[in-house]
Amino acid sequence: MARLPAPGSVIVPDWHESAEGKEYLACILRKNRRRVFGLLERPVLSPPVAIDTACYKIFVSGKSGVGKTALVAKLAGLEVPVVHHETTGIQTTVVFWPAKLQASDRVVMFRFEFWDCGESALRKFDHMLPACQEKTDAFLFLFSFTDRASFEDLPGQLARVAGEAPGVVRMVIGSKFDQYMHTDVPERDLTAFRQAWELPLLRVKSVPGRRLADGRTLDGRAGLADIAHVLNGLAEQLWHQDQVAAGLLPNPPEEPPS
Amino acid sequence: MGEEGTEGTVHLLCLAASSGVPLFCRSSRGGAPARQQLPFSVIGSLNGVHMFGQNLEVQLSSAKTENTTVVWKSFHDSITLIVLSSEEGTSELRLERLLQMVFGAMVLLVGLEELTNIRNVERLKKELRASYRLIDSFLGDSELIGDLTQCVDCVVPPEGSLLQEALSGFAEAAGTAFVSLVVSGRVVAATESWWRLGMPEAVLLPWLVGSLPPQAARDYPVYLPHGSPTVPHRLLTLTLLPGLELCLLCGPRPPLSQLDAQLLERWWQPLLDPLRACLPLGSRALPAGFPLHTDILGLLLLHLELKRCLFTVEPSGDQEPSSEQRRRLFRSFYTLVTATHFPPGEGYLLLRHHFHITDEETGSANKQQSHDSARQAWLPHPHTPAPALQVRALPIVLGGVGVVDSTEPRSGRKSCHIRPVRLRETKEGTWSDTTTPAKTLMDVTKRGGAARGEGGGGGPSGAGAESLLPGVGG
Repeated sequence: MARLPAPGSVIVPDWHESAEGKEYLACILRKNRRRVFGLLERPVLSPPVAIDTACYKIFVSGKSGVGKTALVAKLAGLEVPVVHHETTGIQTTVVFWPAKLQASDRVVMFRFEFWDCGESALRKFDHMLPACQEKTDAFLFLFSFTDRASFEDLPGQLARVAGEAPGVVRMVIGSKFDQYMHTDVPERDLTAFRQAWELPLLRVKSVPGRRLADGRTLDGRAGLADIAHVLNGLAEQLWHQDQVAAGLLPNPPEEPPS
Repeated sequence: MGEEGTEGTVHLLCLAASSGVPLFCRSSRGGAPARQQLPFSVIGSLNGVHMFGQNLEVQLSSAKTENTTVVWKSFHDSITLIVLSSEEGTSELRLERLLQMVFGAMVLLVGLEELTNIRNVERLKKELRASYRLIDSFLGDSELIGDLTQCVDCVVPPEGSLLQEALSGFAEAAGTAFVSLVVSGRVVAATESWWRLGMPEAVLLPWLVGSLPPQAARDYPVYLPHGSPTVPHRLLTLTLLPGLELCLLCGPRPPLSQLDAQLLERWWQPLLDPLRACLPLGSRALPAGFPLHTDILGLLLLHLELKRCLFTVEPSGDQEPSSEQRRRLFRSFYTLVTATHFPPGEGYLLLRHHFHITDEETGSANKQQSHDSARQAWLPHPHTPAPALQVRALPIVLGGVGVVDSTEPRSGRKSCHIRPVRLRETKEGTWSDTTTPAKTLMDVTKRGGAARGEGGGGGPSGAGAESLLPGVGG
């Protein structure tokens, strides 16, 4: 496993807040809402500037009910379902995210394809897990701060789901962090987990996104500000992984050949 | 939101027949999903009275109170569905069909085995949650009408043959014969095999796709209520453009990852413009510039043989009355007419509004709804006979036409009338409108007595509107 890049060392962290960043973000927004792209579409910058697109497949894994579908909906700027139900099968969501690289000052359009699959469907139908694992560039492991069992299930998930793909990016996300009053996962457990696994760990709140003036549609810009740290975190890990794979970065010193 | 007086409530109850345990309850009010629930005692009584009858070998199928209609239906002696509706213009027929659709939706997502052999009620309840969205779309104010007509909602794309060609090519490349292109729950084009899907899945699958939140792609296990209720198939969907989805029905192959960007771009990127032109068809169903009389507020074309229908209440850009109101009116009009004149039990009668549309120049039967043949297939207006349209094998064509034709003197409010259109084939091979124009079947502006006829008139269609509507308004 390659050494993790320090947060902010690959991607300029608050670039999306800058004037230049906002200009780029405009191509994934329309009238202050997040734009939904079909598979035949991609964001077009105005004025049209050619930028590279980096495509990644990301499998979102986690115990039933931790909020996989809700997280993906949030990342895509879509409505989060009010009532929970098991996801019927596999569903994929495409999220475009422009980000600026620290090293070259270059802007890259990241295209994340999130693969989300209901737990019981995974168990019931044999073809689903291999389909999600196949050629995936990253695994996102979700646990919920309000569900202790989902946190304790993480090592099992890591072995079961990502065991056969050791070199692939793995990230852990704790959902429902807003409900810290009811948290079942105290900070010391998180610290212990971090030390044991050396994986990037992010927290997301599961609060409803801000609405536009009409009171109904989600405010795209505000939504992006809420989830920028997750998308930047992912972009950073994935870009770093590519650089290592392409031999552009020196081999991590911590991993002496055994 | 509609006027307060037209706001009806629909409650749907699903119970395990043997134990009487409620599996779920869904409600809608004024066409939108509602949280309001019936008290447990009411649910128990409704189920109890049905069970009581069953024990005495009496099948209780429906009941009516002053403002509510109740319909019961048991499926496979395992699931009991009960629906209560206080919506205006509701009927047993509509509610029975609703229950059939609801059960179809349950089978589609859960499978018949789980429903007929209930081992774990709690698990079944949890699994059934996945079908709530689809079921709610039947209860609410849907833009589709296939639940009622039992025909697949379709649209007429501007470049149908191009899309059809690409669809066949893509189907071959993807390795499945069942492919369709769906815009907002309506079929734009489909392969022959897809069209051969039985009922109710032919209606349910596009409806399901239209009811789901947007996803780039899906790989869902589905059980076909008619064709394969116990063995799941895979429904793959690929969102080409927002709202426009390719749907594939297949077995273990191809994997979702095989339908990648390259394959999609190869087949569909060259057709980006015709595909974009399909997007507004979601609500309009007909391409822009389609010649239709400006008075027509809503249109339903049924092809009962092919089991396809085309429904729109937005043929023109008119704002008044609202589309929700038009849809509601159209649905109750359709229900009224089918329930009273073409009862579902009498298949022969139903055949009477079968029609074949032939292209007069070639004489060939219209199998593919390409733009040109569809142009001729439309009934533009009851008063203007379509010159190139030949209607055969049909004593009566039914068309519901809403006409904004009067202004109330006191309030200055426009009123809208819906009346039946009777078209009769003449010996010369053309057709004539035998409806008396002044006859009004439904008056939108009135509440309560919606089906009261107006105006006398006489004429061939009989002695006043009441005679068309036995049992209503009297």
